[in-house]
Amino acid sequence: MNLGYAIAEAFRSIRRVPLMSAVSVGTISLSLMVFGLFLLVTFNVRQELAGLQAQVDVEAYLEASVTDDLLVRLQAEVASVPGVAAVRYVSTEEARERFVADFGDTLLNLLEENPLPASIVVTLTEDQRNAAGAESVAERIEALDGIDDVIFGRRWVERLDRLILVLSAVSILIGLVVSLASVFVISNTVKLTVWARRDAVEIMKLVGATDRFVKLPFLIEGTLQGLVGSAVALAILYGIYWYVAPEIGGLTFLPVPVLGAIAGMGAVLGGIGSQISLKQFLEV
Amino acid sequence: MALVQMFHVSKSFGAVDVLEDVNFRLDRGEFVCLTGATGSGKSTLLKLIYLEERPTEGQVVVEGFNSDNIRQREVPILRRRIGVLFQDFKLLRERTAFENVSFALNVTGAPLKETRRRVTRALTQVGLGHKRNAFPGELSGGEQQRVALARAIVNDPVLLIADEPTGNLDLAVGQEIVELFQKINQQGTAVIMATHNLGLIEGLPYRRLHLQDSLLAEWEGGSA
Repeated sequence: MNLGYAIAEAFRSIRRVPLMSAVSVGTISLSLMVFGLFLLVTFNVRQELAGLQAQVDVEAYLEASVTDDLLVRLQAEVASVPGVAAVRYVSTEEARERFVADFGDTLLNLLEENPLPASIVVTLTEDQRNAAGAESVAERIEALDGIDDVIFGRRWVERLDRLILVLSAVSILIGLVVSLASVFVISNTVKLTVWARRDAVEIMKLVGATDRFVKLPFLIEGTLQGLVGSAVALAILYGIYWYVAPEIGGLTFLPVPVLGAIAGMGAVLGGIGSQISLKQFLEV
Repeated sequence: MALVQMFHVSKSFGAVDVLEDVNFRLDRGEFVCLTGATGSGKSTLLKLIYLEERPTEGQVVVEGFNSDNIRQREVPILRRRIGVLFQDFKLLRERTAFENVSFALNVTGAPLKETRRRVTRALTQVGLGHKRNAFPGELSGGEQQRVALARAIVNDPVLLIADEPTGNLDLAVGQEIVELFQKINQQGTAVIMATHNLGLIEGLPYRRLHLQDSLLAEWEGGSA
């Protein structure tokens, strides 16, 4: 099998029916662009949610009687609770500063001493940043000596949990529909280019071409169309991002591996599509 | 020596029996005409020879390959030894005469220089050496069929199969094609030509087979 010949044939067919190739590339890029747009939106929503989740923390208030020694031990104990990523000690003075920053000092000035307790602020590991995780971490910390009370924004965390659940379900559903549509559109488009050259396939078979010989140029052509299509799609996608990003702010473009995956998907679908479409012509 | 043999071959498509118990033998170097009305199964019989169709019953043996046990990957090998011509030429419109002919050699992986030499020879043989760069659309029907013929013989086949090769041509042009077949036959290639046009083969000194009602018979009254 002569690879050079197959490549030459693939390019020749693209050159001979440029409109067909253009339509094919255009369709592929359009459907991949829709797919990429979906990924871009999902990706940014997920980033936003991850940012919100990072704010899920647990705050453990210390009893006033806690000595410096106990504090050191407590910090270590809290840090060793499963699900705890980091701990930070907030002294009464710092608590006061935070309060003043949030609410002003009028209220505190009425009191003779600082009523705010010292606390340990716990950052959760990523997998525990939900209601159940925060709850179990809170319970274990509460059991420790020297801890007065543990709080976390239960209502808020529960709502975030639900939001993430719903958005994940919706994005999986849409993703499934969009990717299936892409597969369908791309394989059918490639089928058209194969169909346009069925006479050549027939003649090749007639003069004794092996199936592999017939298939290879189509495989190259289909893969190439898929690649070019995905490149165009990504370019358009970046254009959209570039145009929209300043308006919305905080947007991130898709990471390189995802871009690679989209390009790969185009190439693979183009290639496989051509081989599947050829099958019906090869049974001669 | 037998080149093609059919043993009790039947072929049906669904409920339609196209061929029934056909027995037939074609020797190397022989020239056979196959007649029969349109739709009598001539094309099917020819397709059985180059194994585009497989028999429903019976066996077809061509060049030592048996339809019963030939492997799919051996079919191309067989086809390279057989040239096939059709009524509608089956040329690729976007390729020149030269490219259409060389197409048949490309699939065998023949080297470029060899390809050029053999294509030129085949085109010269059919009298089209001067039109090698013409596209099918720029050629007359007879010329297009001659390009197809050059493509069919460029591999030096042992057998040339022609399925109504003159169906789209007027009689005079058709006769020129048949004369080319005779020349090719004289060089040792067996020829089987199907036609419903008896005028075309009138007076030809060859064996004739006739298909009627799914049955194949030797034509008794015909050859001179």
